[in-house]
This record gives sequence, C-alpha cells and structure tokens, in this order.
Amino acid sequence: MSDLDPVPELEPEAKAFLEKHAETGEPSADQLARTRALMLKPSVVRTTPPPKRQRPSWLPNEVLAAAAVLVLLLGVQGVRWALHDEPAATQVPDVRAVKAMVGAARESFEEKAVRDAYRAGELDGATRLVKEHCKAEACKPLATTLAQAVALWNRFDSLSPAELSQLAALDADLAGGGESVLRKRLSAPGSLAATPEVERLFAEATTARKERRFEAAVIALERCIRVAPAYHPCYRVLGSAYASIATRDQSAIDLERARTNYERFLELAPPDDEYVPKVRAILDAASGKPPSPTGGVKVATSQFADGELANALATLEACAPEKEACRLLFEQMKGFQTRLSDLGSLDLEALAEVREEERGLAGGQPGVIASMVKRELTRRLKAEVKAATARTDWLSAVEYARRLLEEEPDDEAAMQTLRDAREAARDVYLRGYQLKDASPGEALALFKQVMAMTPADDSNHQKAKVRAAELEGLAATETDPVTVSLPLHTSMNLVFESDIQRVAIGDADIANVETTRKPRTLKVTGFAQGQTTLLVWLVSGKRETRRLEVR
Amino acid sequence: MPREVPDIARLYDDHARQVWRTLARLGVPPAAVEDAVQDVFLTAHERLEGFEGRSSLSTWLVGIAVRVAANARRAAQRQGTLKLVDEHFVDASRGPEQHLEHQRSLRELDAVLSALPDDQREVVVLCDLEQLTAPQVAEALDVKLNTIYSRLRLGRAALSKALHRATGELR
Repeated sequence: MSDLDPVPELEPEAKAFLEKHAETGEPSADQLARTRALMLKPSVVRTTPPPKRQRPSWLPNEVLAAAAVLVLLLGVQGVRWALHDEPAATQVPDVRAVKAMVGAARESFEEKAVRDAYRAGELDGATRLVKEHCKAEACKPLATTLAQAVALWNRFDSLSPAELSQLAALDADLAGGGESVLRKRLSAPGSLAATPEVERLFAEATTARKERRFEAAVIALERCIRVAPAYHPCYRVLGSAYASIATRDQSAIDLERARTNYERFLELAPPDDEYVPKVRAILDAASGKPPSPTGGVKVATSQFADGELANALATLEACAPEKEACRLLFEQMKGFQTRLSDLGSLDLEALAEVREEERGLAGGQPGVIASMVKRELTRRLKAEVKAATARTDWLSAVEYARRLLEEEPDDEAAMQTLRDAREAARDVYLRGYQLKDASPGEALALFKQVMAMTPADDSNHQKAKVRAAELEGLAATETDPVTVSLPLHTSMNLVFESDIQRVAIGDADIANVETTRKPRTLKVTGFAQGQTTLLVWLVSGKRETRRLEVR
Repeated sequence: MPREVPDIARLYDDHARQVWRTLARLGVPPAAVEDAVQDVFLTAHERLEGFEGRSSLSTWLVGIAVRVAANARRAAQRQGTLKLVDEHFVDASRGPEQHLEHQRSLRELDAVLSALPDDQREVVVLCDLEQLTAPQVAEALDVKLNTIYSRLRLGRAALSKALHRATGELR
C-alpha cells in the first residue's frame, strides 16, 4: 500500500473508544485560571521558569524537617497503639528522643549559620561559629571540612592542581549548593581545577554535543559541575547544549537554563578567556543588544566553530567597515559558504580541502560544520569502495576503504573490502611469482600491488616484499640492459663471463633461446618482430639481462 | 495590512484549553501538564513576533505543544516518572468523584495510546481526537502530507490492535 492510498476509517471499536474520550484531558476552569495567573506574572513572561511556592525566610529547612519527623513519629506511634490496643498512657514518646530531635534541629540551624558565614567569605567567622556551637557528633564532619578548606585557602597561591580540585570540592560541600564568594578565586587564571575526571567528562560532553546528543552532553556536564564547581568551561558547553535543546524543542525552560549557565560561565571565566566575548555576544543577542564591533573576528571564529555560519557572517559584516581583518574573513567565509552549498559537486580531494578550510576558519580545530563535510566525504568514499570492489580494482578499493576507515573506524563494508582484498592478494602474489623470471617488471608491479592490498603482518605481504626487494635489486644492477638487435628468422650467439645456470625469456613467440655446445654461450633466434627480455643466471651468482629486439 | 499580533493573555484565553488537552493526550504526566502548558505559551510568546502566519495560530500552537510534549516525555523518562500517574495531583475544582473519574479516564486513554509509537500517537491524537485535518497536522508538525496519511493509517491500525489487546486482557 502506498502513502497515497486512502486512509481506512477507524474501526467501530476504536471510534467508540475515542468518542468516549472526547473530553479526556480537558482542564478544569480552576486549572486554567491558576496557570493563567502564574504565567502572566511579569517575571514569568520574561521567560523565567514558573515561580515555586515560597516559604517564609525565617523558617529554616531544618526546623521544618524536624517538625515533619516529629509529626510522622507521633503518627506512626499512634498507629502502633491502635494496632496493639495498648493503653496510650504507657506509650508516651520518649522525652529524650524528642529533646534529641529538637537539639538536632538547633544544631542544623547553627550548621546553616556556619555555611552562611562561609558562603559570605567569612572564614574566621565560620571557624568561630564552629568552635562555639558545633559540638554535637553530627556537626563534626562540617567542622572537619571547614578546617581542611581553611587550611587550603590559607596557602591558596601555592596549591597544586590536585589540591585546587580538592578545594573546589570542599568549597561546594561547605556552600551546600549555594554560591560562595570565594569560589571565584578558584577560577582565576592558573587555578583551573581540571582533574583527569573533569577533563574526561568535558571531552565526553563536547563529543556528545558535536554529535548532537545533547541530553548525553547535559548529563556529563552536570556531573562535571558537581565534581568541579569552578571549572568554567563546563558551564559554557552546558549553556550551549541547553541552547541547542531549546532551539530543537522550542523549550523556554531550556532557554532559561542556557542563559543561567552562560551567565555562570561569565562569572567564573577569567576575562581573557577566548570564549568570553562570544558568550557575551550570545547573551547580548538574546537580550537584544547589538554585537560589539571589537573582537568581531574572534567572536565570528567561535561562532563558526559552533556551526553558526550565518551568525558568524553577520558578526563579520557588522565589524567589516571598521576592521580590515573582519572584511577579509567575511570574504573567506562567504566563499566557504558557497562551496559548502554545493558539496555534492566537489570531488573527494576538494571535499578534503573544504574540511581543511573549515578547520582553519574554526580556529584550528574541526568545528560543527566539519561533521557535515565528513558525512558527505564518507558517503562518497563508501560509493567509491563499492564501485572499485565491483570492478575488482583492488588497489583503489583498498585505498578508499582505508580512507573510509579513517573517517568511520567501524565501517563494516570497508573492513569487509580489506578482508576481500587480502584474500585476493594471494592470487596476485601467485601470478607475480609465476612471472618473476619471465617478466620481472610485471612481477614487481604485482608484488607491489600485493603489498598495497595487505597489511604489513600478512604473510603474502611479507613474501611479496622479499620478492620485490629481490627484483628491485636486480633492476638496480641492471638498470640499463644491453640491447641485442637481430633480423627476423636469424640467429645470434651470446657469450657470457661464466657458465650458465638458468635462462628465461619473456616472450618465447618473439625469440627462442637455446644452449650450444660451446661453454658460456647461448643461441638466440628471432621468430617474430618485437622486443622481449632475456634473463640469464650465471654459476658465479650474477644475473644478466639482455633486451632482445627482433627487426 | 500589518498582521495583528495578539498578546499572550489573549493567546492563552483563546487556545489554552486545546493546548492543555493535546499535552495531556500526548502522554505528558498529569503533574507536568501545567508546566508544559506554560512552556508552550512562553515559547509562543517569545516567538510570536517571528510568526509568519503561514498557518493559523491554533495550528502553530499545536505544533509547539507537540514538541514540548516530546520534551516533557523525555524529561519524565530521564527522571523515571513517565509511568507515574501522579496520584497526589488534586484538582480542587472537581469533586473527589469527578477527580477520580477524570484520572481513571486519562489513565485508560494513556494506556491505549502509549502502545502507539510517538509519531503515530501524535497524528492519531491530532486527527481523531482534536479533529484537525491532515493538512493542518502536516503544517503543525512540519511534515509532508503523505507522511501524515501514512502515520495515520499505521496509527489507526496500531490503535485497533492495542484496543483488541486491552479487551483481551480484560476477558
């Protein structure tokens, strides 16, 4: 059935089911009104996410939590009394337990005060609070963490990268998910806390983003931020990943997340970070500000690397009247855009050049557009491999397959081609072996073909290499063979310097060769007009070649 | 004559009911529908100026709703809450009986529609429940008309199959 065939009507059962659910999912008037009220708040219309219910600021989380636990405990106890039918008077909750809970709540409250002091950058104040109030067992981990962090902050300038990373983790722990004023110091130049794990997560996320697996990138980057809250590159790429998701899904929430992460990046990144101008330009563009004319080339390069060719051109166009570099880069990118729009007409070499050009325009690293060029290149290479294999042109097939594997290391068709070529190389080797005496030139070409068709560890490759070396040695000693010319149907004696061991002739239809009774002498007879080669192995170990020309 | 651009309040008043229904029927968990509705209208608000008017506002909003629903489903899957029909989500304007009936009905519909692949479910919901025409759905989803017909055909077949299975399980 084709797509143009009429769509069958719904079956009666399905029709009845859908009719039954004609109202399902309908909102109530209250739901509509509540959402309307929430959404039309000015702060929400400015694309911020819907506000959460607020709790009075004077009521700390810990006190609420303790109250909730108490209520729960009393409730559970009540159920137990009811089940066991025991007199309530004997089941009064343990006063010590209640006291302990209230104490824990107070302790939590003091813990909060310590964290607040730390977040405000008051290390001495936080330490004093710990000494005065943090006496309970539960508070000890906080005291230990604070002591470790203070010790590291006191010798901040001499910290190793590992210690910086440790400090970033302690800082995140002490700030309890909030902001700490000290954290900015961690992102100062030279103090970027990039542990191998962070680098791995960042690389994983960057790859995922380039492959447009944005959710995977977000997961890796959220983890990166948890591990190293001061590692600003993660915020930038996270902003970019959320922006891509927002564009793809038209999601305002993801757009807001992108903005938050970009802003965080700007807070943490040193001013001379290469991405700062670009991120600023993105945020400016989002808020409707015109792009800054300065740094246009840098911004455009970065935009280009992110695959935003149109934005890069717009940036360059804006700064072109003032900066010659902008104008030149604009022209170069415009040319690139033209080539890019017609990728299908470019040959393989031109495609490779476009990719190199893309790398240059993206600032030395392959940008997002490179993946598009790569896709085209891969598609073409696959076609070439297929065509060359079909016409059993193994040399070309192997060359294209190898290039294809450089682009797509797991391409099964390319791997199969190499396996087939390896199999076929055996026959080519045998043909070369048969010709090596009669026609060493041809044999040499075949041996070289075998070497090109097989990997270095293949037995045919190794045998062909030895044979080729032998023949090349021969060719080297006899680079300019003596030409013997004789008329058709005549004979000639050839005398050599020592006794003859073995003789071979390339084309026995042109000339015949036979030994004579005379020592070290061969008799050559011309049968047909043309040229052929005569090879003579002497007892002395030397091989001599004569070019026979029958006139 | 310049096209009149409605403000977000009017847009909401005119289309919220349809958007809400569409999201609920496209598998957005009940507790997340309200957020998703906001998401749709905030997205629309941001893009309203760039709206070219090639389709009707209603079709355009349905298109946004389909994408937001896909996003919400994905988010719910990430958080492992897709199958969680939020029992605690209480609609105060409905009485307890009505509320339970509404929940049951939604769950029943979702149980059958979730047997359909997402792209077929979208087309069946828009054509057979929202009563949009195939060309309107094609515009909303930015997909070729023939693809819509194809998805509708497959979706209707899958719907019947899912219903047969559900009925068989009940017997």
